[in-house]
Amino acid sequence: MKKIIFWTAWLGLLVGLAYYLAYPLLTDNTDKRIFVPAKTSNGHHQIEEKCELCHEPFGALKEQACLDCHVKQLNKVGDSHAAKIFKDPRNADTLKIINATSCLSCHNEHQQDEYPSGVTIAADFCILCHQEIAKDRPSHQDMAFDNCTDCHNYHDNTALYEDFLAKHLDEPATIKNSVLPERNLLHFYAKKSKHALTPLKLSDHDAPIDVDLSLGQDWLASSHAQAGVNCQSCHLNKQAVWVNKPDQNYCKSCHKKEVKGFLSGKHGVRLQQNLSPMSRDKARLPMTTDAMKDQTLSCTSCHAAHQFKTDTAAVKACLTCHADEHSLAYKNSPHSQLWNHEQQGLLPEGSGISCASCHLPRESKGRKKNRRTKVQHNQNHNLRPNQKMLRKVCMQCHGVGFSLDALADKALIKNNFSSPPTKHLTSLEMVKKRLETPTEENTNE
Amino acid sequence: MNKIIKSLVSTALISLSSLSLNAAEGIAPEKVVDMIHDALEANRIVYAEQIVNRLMNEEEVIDASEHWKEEQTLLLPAQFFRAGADIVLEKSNSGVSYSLLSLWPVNDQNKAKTDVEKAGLKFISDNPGKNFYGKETLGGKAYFTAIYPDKASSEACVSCHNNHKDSPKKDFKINEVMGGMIIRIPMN
Repeated sequence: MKKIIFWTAWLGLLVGLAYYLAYPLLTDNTDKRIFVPAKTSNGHHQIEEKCELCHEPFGALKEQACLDCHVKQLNKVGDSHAAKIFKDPRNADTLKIINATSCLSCHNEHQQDEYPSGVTIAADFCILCHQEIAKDRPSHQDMAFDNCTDCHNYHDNTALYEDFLAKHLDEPATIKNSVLPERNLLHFYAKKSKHALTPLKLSDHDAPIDVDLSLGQDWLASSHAQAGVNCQSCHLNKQAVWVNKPDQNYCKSCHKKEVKGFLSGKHGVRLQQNLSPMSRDKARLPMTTDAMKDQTLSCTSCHAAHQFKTDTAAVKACLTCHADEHSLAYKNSPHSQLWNHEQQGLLPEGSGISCASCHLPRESKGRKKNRRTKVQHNQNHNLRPNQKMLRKVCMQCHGVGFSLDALADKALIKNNFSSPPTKHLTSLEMVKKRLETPTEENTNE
Repeated sequence: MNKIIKSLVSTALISLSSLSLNAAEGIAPEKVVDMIHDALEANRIVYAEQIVNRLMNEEEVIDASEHWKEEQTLLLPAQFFRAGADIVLEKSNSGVSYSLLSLWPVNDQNKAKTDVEKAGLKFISDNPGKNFYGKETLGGKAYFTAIYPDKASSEACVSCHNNHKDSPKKDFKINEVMGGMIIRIPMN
């Protein structure tokens, strides 16, 4: 009898274990974190419970998955080491040294140690192909190969190629009276709008009778009501049924690019991948622990519903959650001072620098009358490696030399740029010297 | 800009894929690469004359420049050719690849790497008007490689190369061979 009980219990245990392991493995949209072999990189930890995003069933890697998410951004910056280049047979010898056609040669996931920007290859990897760089660039003679990436970015070289630096040699540290470009969505919305853009009164609202109008005053003061955007514009679904709490899909009808950026970035990627929304308890960065700790992320987390004040979304909303050293230092920074002065009306609009000015910056495209300025809601475009921020962020107000030094100074990043850079990159001096050096032809003359 | 490149390159790609089939049926590899060269050269001429020269010099609508993305200008003809070659590498399974190389490249990546490339570029430079054909094994695979002379067809080519600070040769003249178009097909 004892044996029967023992074997029955044993069998039950095995069946239970098999179910526990097999169920998440064989079903989509289930939490598979029990199979994660080691710490997932900071870039991917939000989506680690969905192994199938990067893996075939039973483990094989889908390399195409890397490109599905990252190739557009790489193409946008003109990836200077694009995998396709290395598919040319004339690069066969290079591939023997390093397989540059595979993302995984440099970005290996699930490592025990922390790697900046998910780069797991040895820091001096550039030497594999560029050991003779000093022949072309004598300024690089005797430089160590383990810190090339202090200045250069393997994929996005837009911040450091010679002709670009040559255009910006003697710029001041800070450009006087600089202001950020003005957002102009309304200008383009007006061209397509089917309704008049005249401000609405509370009595103009088109919400059903049974809807609670206690938030009506917030709406009345918002840019929506001022532009004639009534309740139904946001609250009706495709079947024209009223929805009390519309999600980001409703915002898309007018803010398509903003929503796309949000869903591709750190705030919205979980929603993009049909996971539960991002929340503070899922973050790796230090977060605040106040009463709203359970709040999840959607458009209205930062843009409070009905109010939609962009100035609130630009600073207050960020600091409601973010409590790392850089974020906490913002309030005493010169950038914050400018922001406060702008808010108080002491400086012109666009003079202040908020959290969003740098991490969700305004981007302009098009020429003259067709120049559109929108906010880039995917903060990955302006985060790490931070040289990516040079053009679209720092250069709005600062010279290139100062910006490069500031971005390279880790202490400055911690104190939120509250002191002058103590590090100095000699990139500009190198370019200057090269431009001043007579060419071989001139020397012969 | 990408749409223009893709549409022009797709024409070439269709030609390439059909040519690969024909090669398997017994067309001499010299003939195959010559046909590919004709298609590529035609696209180059269309871009250089009907797009760059027309819009930049005749109608003065837009410039072409090295940093075309940043300056919102047209790609230089050599960059356009390279962009098409990149798409073939990325999208095509035919195994065909092509590039513009030179003994005096502005970009060091475009210098001759393989023995056949070195011999071929020297041959077309020493023998004006003649093409070079050779066989080579790269990464364990056999290729038939052809190199066609690439001449300075306009003053723009000459002045840009002669004035570029990274150019190792600064006395190019019109109609002089500046480099070569390399076309490589796999040999089955």
